[in-house]
Amino acid sequence: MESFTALLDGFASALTPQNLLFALIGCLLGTILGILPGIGSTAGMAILIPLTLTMDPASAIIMLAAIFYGGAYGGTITSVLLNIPGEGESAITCIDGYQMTLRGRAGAALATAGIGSFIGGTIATLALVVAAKPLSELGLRIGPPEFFSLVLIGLALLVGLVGRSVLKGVVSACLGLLIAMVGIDPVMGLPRFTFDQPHFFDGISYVPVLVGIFGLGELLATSGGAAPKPTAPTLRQLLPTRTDLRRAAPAIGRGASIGTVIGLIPGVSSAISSLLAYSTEKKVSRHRKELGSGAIEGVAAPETANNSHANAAFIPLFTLGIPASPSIAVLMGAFLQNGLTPGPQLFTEAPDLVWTVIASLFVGNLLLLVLNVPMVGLWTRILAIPYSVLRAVIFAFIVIGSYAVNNSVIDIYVMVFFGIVGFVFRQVHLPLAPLVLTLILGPFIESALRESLQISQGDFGIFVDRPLSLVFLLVALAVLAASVLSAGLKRKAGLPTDAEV
Amino acid sequence: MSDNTNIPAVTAEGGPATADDPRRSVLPLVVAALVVAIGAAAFIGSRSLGYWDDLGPGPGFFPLWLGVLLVVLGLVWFGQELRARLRPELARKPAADEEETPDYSLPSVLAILVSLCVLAACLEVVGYQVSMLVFLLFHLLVIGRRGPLQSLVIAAAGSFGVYYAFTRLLTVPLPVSSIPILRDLGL
Repeated sequence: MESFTALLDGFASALTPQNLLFALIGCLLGTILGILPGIGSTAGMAILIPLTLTMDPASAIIMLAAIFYGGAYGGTITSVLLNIPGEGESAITCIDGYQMTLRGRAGAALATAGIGSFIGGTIATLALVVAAKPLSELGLRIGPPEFFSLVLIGLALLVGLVGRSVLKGVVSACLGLLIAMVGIDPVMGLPRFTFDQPHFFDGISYVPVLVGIFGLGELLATSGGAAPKPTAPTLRQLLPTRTDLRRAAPAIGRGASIGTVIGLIPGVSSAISSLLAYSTEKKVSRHRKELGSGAIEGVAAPETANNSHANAAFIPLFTLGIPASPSIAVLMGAFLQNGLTPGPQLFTEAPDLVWTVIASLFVGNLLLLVLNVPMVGLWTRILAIPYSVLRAVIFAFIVIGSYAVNNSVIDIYVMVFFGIVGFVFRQVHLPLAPLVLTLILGPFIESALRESLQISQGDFGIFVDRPLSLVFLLVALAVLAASVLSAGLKRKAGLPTDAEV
Repeated sequence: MSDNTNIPAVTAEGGPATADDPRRSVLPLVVAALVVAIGAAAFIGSRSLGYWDDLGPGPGFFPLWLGVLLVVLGLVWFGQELRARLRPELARKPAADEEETPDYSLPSVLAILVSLCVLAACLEVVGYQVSMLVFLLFHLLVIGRRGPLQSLVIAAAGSFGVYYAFTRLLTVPLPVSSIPILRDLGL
């Protein structure tokens, strides 16, 4: 009950005109970024972090979180109308969504996706409210060895499930850790790998790195192709029919449960939730034979699942301090940039902020529903802007975003360098997600490892002597082993790659 | 869409990368070698940092093992790539062939990178407004082949407009010129 009183207070501050405005801006920006080719919500959030530094931390995080789930909805629009998933998790929606568009039912598909997302997001946020207190109390009891082992599970899942090659996933994770090493070492305070540049004493800021990898890298990788030309859709019927709703309701229910549960697991991307929800429909839906040829369930289930996943992913972040996906990792970066460390302590250190952000998740989901569904026509017109114009404008923003973190030109060069890195990663199919996660978590992983070894006076046995840590380690090992063995199976299943996160 | 089980590609058009493309078949080898080199550099660099001290692992502990891991993984990857090239019939069909890489054009990539570096170099000399104006005009007129009027309007909005919005409204400072005459003009 205590949580609900806190949540009500959260609503009071999330509904102030200022915070409402930022949630609105975030939803709109996120949707636009999700629609635009070449820049996803992850890069968008990274670019906008510097601009939020002058804002009140709660407003800043509300806006960035809104960009995050707004982006998922933007990705849905292009999946349904153009058969192009703007974001990885929308790939599944293309299958039935685009078929519905071909039959002139785009409006119903988008409206159902919007309603499903709203319901899924709300259910997952309710789960967050219920689980937050008990889980964060558990989180507080987790010591450095357990934290280290838990992060290893997350990494093992990310490397094993999302990427197609475990080897490449581990390479990417190690490179991210190495970048995180630059700067003053977290335990002793000695500078490391700073190339004698005072600029790097504080470490390489992750904003230019993320902007480079996700923004510039993607723009470089797509520099040869012409942008897809959208055909203006006829939104004959925006409202789904009664039959649509009756058919979509059970799919939405299943999608919401799948997304909420899977979203809890650190390291699993929301594309997995969408895929699971879709394959569940293929097995249990009453209209399973129609799936693939424009069935409403094929849109409702994955869209609900990915949005409830996105919202459930806040649970490990708030309660354990572990970001579940690259986008959440960027959001964690925003917390850190504002001087807040996400994790169980946050509930005692900044309860107002946490509950305001949680309340804003409800508000944001509602805003997306009321705003975006009727505005679909306007959103599609954004795609009609010539790609060269869009690209020039995006260049301007990634330069400003990188510069503004530290008011330093060096960060622009850092951004360009990591743009090349992101470009090369895409060419040789190195996954980007492990790098981003270890980049942000690097200092925490290293501190956890070194503190554990200090506790045990250098004995590595501490990781297997403590039961919880041992269990986590075994799970991580099992996940890695399973993914090495099932590499072929995974390829057959055609899981979406994470290159487009 | 006759085959509905396929997940639609991210790029609908763009030619998929093929193993025959020499540019792409050498790149993984180079990158794997680079990974080995980076690992070796981390290993060597970490040795001067202190591997172990009285309290436990020192600042060099973590980078040292990361370096070792990167060298080993890089070598394995290099070996895999090499084997796939020398004995294509024996090697497992690499996953890369199934994924399509979006098409890029090397001249565009170079033009973008060079123009960004030139922009970064000019920012603190002639100021944000002038350098961004020129940068945007270059991208719109030369690379994007947009009309002169449209380009000028967008470039002006992106340089002078954005400068005003950021410095005045968002209180985010953007670089001004270090040349006195230009600075006096408000650039």
